[in-house]
Amino acid sequence: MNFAGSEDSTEHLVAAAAESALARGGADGGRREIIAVGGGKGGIGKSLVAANIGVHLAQSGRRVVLVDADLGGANLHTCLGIQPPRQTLSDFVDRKVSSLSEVVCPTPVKGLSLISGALDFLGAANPKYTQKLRLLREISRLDVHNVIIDLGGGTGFNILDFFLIADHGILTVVPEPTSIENAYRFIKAAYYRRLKTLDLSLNLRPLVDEALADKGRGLKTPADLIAHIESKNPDAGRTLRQQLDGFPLQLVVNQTRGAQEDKLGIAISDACRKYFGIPMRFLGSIPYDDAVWRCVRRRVPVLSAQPNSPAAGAIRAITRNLGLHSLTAAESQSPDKT
Amino acid sequence: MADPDPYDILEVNANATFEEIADAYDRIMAYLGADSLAMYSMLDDVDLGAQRVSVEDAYRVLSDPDRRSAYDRHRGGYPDLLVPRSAGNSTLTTDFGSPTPTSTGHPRSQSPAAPSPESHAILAAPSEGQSARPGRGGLARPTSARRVFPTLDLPHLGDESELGGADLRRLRESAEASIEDIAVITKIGKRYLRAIEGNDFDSLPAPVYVRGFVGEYARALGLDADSVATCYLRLCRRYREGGG
Repeated sequence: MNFAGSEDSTEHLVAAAAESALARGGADGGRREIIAVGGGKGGIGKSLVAANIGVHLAQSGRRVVLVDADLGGANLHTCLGIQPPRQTLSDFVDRKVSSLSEVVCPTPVKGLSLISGALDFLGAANPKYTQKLRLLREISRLDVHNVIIDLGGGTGFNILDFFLIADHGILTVVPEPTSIENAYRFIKAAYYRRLKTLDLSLNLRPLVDEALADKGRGLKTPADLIAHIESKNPDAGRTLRQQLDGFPLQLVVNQTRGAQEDKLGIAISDACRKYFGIPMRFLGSIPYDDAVWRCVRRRVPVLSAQPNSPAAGAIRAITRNLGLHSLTAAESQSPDKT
Repeated sequence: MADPDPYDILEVNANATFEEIADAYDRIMAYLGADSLAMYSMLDDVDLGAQRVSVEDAYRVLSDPDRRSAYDRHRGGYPDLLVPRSAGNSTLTTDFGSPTPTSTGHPRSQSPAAPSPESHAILAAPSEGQSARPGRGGLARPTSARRVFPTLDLPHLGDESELGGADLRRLRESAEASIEDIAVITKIGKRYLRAIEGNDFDSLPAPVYVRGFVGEYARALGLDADSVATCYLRLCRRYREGGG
């Protein structure tokens, strides 16, 4: 599904999402938090992470909806052991249904729902950017405690925009140079995408364009870029740095083998902070665990089927480290809607 | 351009303890080290090499109390490893510590203590081919024993001068220093020191490393590190541009 629209439409898109965030009242009046799971590379466990974080949050009493935005590669329904739903994300985008809640389907996990991207393939539809806008607004208004968006691989605008509207953007990597290379590419792409949207209010487009044009001639990282802008316009540079603090970047390292790889997450976070100038929170590592592939093969979430496995324990710890807001008493006591 | 501040490089406070400095070094090398995936594709090899050299240099200064004190006093410049004695004495000393009062009242009228075998054993040279990870056990606190080299007959280095390995070896030998002495002081592997002296450019790493190594070598002999390194790299570049 390719979203047509000019690059400039991103400003309207993100601005609208920002408005939605202000009105992001969650279930029972609490605050809904959106989690996006990306990584820049396919096959590294984004769906595993998204699905099982969702399972754990649902098991802890929250109402959670998973959104499979990996169109053309949707797997969440498989991870959860359900058949491809009849109505999916593209039905909403194509206005075959009027409300996003009509494409929400239950899962075997109490409290956990799914908006599937199954049966959708790239190029199946070509909505205008207003459709994407509508989708983002509707996601922000779902009557749940948490929305978890499983993003596809790559650094397309759709993927970046979903990542940027999230309260918690989780980057998933495996300890392989190709995955890390793609992750850094993703971070830079998301950051520059964010930079362009900030330009709306700061009127910095000429400065940003000039700095971006200088990439490769000394401006190799986002940190270089900000320093360059700061040298030309200190106030703008200061504001940009403050905006960076809100960049929702968090890291999970999947399939680690051994103590050295377990430490890779801290090393990546430190390197990102120092050389990109972008703060990154390391949430934790998931050890390589045979229980995971056995569960994938059985099409059941590892947190449900093998809760005592090392991978399940790691995912629970990662979910706790997200620092989601605690449910209020009212939120905890509300009846489940599955 | 002023030397970078080693405190900034290691991201420690000016009053950091040795443990804090060592921890900071370990944490940085966890992502800058040769075996780390964390920096893959973030910086190119040249920039990465330069970063490693600067971190190693910073640790070398801050982990040694005498060097650190000298840096804090000078502030803004890495102290030479060797400082000249007062006039009339032709020897060079590596002593950075506070002058020891003597009966004559002159801090350096005392002859320096002869180096003990233990002091050389403590300041062990790094393994061949490895970056000089000055481990907490390997980089001992400086003792009162210091190796003393005679004053050198320094060559004049102009804007287009080249300086080769044979020149460095001659200077080292005239200072009555061995390769091992230079390896101990600089923490550079003897393999690279021999390659530098032999103009074996094919065995040397990237230019950013070579500049660092030759600079340290020169500094150990009391020479202008920047000038010597520049002149040596000029020769090295000419060799490499000529196709080897």
